[in-house]
Amino acid sequence: MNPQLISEIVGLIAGLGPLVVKEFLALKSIMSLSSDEKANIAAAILASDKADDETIAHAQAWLAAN
Amino acid sequence: MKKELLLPLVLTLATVGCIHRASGTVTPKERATTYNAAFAQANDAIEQGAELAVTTGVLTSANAKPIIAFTEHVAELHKQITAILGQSVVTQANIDSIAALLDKIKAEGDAAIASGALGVKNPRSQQTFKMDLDNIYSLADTVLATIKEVKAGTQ
Repeated sequence: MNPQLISEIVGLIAGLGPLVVKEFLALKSIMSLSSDEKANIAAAILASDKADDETIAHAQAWLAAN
Repeated sequence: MKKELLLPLVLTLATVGCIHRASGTVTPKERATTYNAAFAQANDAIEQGAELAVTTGVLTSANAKPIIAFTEHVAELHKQITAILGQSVVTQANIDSIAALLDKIKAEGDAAIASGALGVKNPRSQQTFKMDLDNIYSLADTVLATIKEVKAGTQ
């Protein structure tokens, strides 16, 4: 992900509240920096699926135990 | 200003103020996929926060269940949106599908609000679950608006 993209998005999501900003910054740290659009898109899609997979796995485990 | 707002604000100002890229532009698809990833991450934080709230005793399991079940379903629906974004071309039918999925997420969130648990503070975000939900709704709207930009000919 390129620095301009990061700055643009952080600036825009700042209005959405601390959760989104905090989580975006956490996300940024696991996405590689690149000036290549396709690489950035692929990294974002991978990160998105990873977060969703984690949510599903944790939620299913918690719901089964409770 | 609330303490939890200070760090994001400082980071925002530092990032926006200091980083400039010499060439190239950020494409709508880069924005759309990144907002989309932030959405997934925010939903995950709600799930984690609900579990933590139960562990720390601020939320009962019964009240946490609708929230956790909601986040699971959101993640399942959201994976469909991500799959659409992964396609090389975004069509009007894709946009309609994404809009329908996001509407479904909002309708489920509104139902979860009725659980009465959403006034409780999420230990992960330090704001109420209701506010967290409002955040992901706003992010959903932003994802949709950006996808429309992608369709508008800049993809």
